Amino acid sequence: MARALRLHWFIYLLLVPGLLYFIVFHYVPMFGVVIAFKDVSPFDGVAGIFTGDWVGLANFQRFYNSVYFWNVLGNTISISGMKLLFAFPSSLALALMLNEVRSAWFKRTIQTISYMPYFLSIVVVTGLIVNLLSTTSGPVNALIRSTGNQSISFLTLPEYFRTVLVSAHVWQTIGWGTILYLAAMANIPPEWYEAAAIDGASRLQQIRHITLPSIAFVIVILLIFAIGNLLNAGFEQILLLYSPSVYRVSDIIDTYVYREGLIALQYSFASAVNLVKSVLAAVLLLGANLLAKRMGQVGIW
Amino acid sequence: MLIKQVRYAGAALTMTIVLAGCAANAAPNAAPAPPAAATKAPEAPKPATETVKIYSYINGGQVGRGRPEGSDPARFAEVNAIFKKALNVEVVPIIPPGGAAATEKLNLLLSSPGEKLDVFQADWTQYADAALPLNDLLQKFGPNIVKAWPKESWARVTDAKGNIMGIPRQAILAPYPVFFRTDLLKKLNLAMPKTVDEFEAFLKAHKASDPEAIPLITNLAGIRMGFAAAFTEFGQSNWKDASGKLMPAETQPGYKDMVAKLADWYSKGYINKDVLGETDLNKLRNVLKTQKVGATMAWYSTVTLGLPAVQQVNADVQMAALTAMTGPKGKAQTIDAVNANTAVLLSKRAGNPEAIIKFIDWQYADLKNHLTADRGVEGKDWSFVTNAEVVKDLAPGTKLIKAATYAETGYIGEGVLSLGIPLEKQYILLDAQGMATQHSKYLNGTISDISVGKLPVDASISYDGRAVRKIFANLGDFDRLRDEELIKFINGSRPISDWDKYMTELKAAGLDLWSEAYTTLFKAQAK
Repeated sequence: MARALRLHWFIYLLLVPGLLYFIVFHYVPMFGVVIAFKDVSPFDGVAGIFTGDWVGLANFQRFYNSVYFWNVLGNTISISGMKLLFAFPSSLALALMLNEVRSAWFKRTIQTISYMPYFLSIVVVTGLIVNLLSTTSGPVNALIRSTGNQSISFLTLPEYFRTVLVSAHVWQTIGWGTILYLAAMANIPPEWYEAAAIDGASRLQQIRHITLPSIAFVIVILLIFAIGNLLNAGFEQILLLYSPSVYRVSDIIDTYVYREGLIALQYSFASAVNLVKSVLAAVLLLGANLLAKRMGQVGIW
Repeated sequence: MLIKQVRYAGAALTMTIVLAGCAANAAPNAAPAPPAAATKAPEAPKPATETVKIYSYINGGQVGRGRPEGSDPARFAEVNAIFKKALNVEVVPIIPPGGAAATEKLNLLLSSPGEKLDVFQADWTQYADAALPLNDLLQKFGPNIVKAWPKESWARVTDAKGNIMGIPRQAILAPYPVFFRTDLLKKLNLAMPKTVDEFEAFLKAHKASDPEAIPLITNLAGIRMGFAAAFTEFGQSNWKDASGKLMPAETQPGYKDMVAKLADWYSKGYINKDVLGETDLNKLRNVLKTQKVGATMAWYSTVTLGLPAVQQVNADVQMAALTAMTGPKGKAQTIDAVNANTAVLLSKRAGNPEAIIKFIDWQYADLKNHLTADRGVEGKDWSFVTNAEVVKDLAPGTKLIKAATYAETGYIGEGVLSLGIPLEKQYILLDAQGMATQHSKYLNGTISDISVGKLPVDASISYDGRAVRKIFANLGDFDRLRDEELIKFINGSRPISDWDKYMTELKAAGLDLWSEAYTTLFKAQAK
């Protein structure tokens, strides 16, 4: 190790900025987690972390006792699960289809069109959604009214709201999700496809027996990340679109923390809720990684 | 070898710069980072000639004046020059985002010791820990401020220990009228409605006359404060049950009838679906711009500040306020006492509280100063009018002002810290045609007439939110339940037959603790 450090110190030096970033902005602030176990006024500043009264697990108990505990947890998992169920395979399917396209310009055009929504700010996207679905001036409801039906308030009716969220998420991320798959597919030797074609395999059979197994490790790693991210259901998107009419189906842990923490100035309570979420997310990530390894696939570590 | 080392060093430097640039955004879902580094040591007193900067959070409603990005910099500099000449102060505005994000930003600024924030507007009971008591400052430097507000208003901004926590911003008022389109009433041959039944008849007629009609725009505040009292004895007020305990408004007899009426209107398409759950008045004003709206039941400035933009496109659109609509149980409007806790607060970290109070007192000292801070340069952006005949029955001493709109002048009033009835009722604003603006007329007399509505049972009580939460920690959940379920009953997601079940759910959510908290505080203050 010492020898390696001496010989390749420039390469180790490249690690330093990244390590410093994580230490300063992710590990040092972890000390602030202690306010989850205290009653800290947000206006006491840093001193409040030390002078606040210890309350032990009272904030955690308060969250558990909340009438909305199961609701926000359920919404978080449901919305994330729906996004995972639809967005994850959609990107894979699009990548597989793009891989079959022979015309380079057509492939590039589709890729560009599918990537572009990803670069739009979430504020712009939600503005588009609000205008598209408006009951007074939106084209969707104009179409509905032209068929003789009444306007539907998609953003204020619980039965439609999650569909709007998931659809917008799929539209915005489907192109971006294909990048890693396409990069992995580009590494598959073309001779394998030629040999399969000679043996009489159809395009679908080639996808099933060559393409998918070759990119299986990418799929598994991305799936592990997605499962680890299961408790992040899209805070900004939901915050900008939801309203009291649809809280029951859209209020997630992050929006609950936002209201109770940042708006209602309950920083200690919000920290406790967020800590619960972080612990659950870590458990999910570790579990998914372990499961992947047990199934013979490559894990993250 | 040297080239290799140079390449590696270059790569390391590039990565450092890139990571430093990316380091500004923390992961949104990480546990909250502790506040920034400790407060700087107090600075040495500045020499008298140095201009005092007042960092003001502009959440007094100015960003709803047609320029959400703030004033034109050149125009703002002109007005700031007047402040500098008069008092050697300069206002540095902090423009908030719209909606709930404004509160979020304010809370973050107040929680971050490194951030400069001197003065802001808020409910003092929520921000008492961050606000500076003003007793001494007002006594020494704020005689005009003290004189301007009645003692009842000062009582509302004073805590249990006698500390005056802020300068009152709102008296007890009647700000929730129903505005009707008078041009549509004329077209439909209907008189101005006076009762709930006549109101409903107008909504029905408007809906029938135009397939794209939006008969009514309203939100939760408008429903509660502008309509609930028509069906209940106490309106949108905490009330005392038979045992003397305070109970929330929804539990009183008759509230269910109000909700049932609105659910019926919703099912008939009278109520606009998009803005029912909205708190941002600009969203309601946007719907007003469609020119399809027949009536609004919301905070008065939804129309008084939103209608001029509509009239610039179509001058035929006219709206008039009905403040004293009646229903089965009498007056429909509940007088607004809750917002009387709203005040102009000085942050404990304010750089120069003396200069800030002197600046505010300067605005209260002379109407001209208030108007300069609010509207801009006299003679250029506004001027007194001496011989207008169009406005009759003015209170003695009322001045007439002619002014361009905020959007036209480019100055939206970031310097004003003296908004409130005491000064705003001293003048009537005339528009470009020389007619009194609706907003000004409403402020001049209508809004202060509390005889048009029902006064809440606990109108004189300031509930300290921190004290309530000490007894009832999950107050936020309870309030959410009330908002959510009201909307569900109105939009039909939940049938009215479930109302009794809802009362049981309120109990399960902590109704008893809520009642204990509010009753305790009520009794303590009512002594």
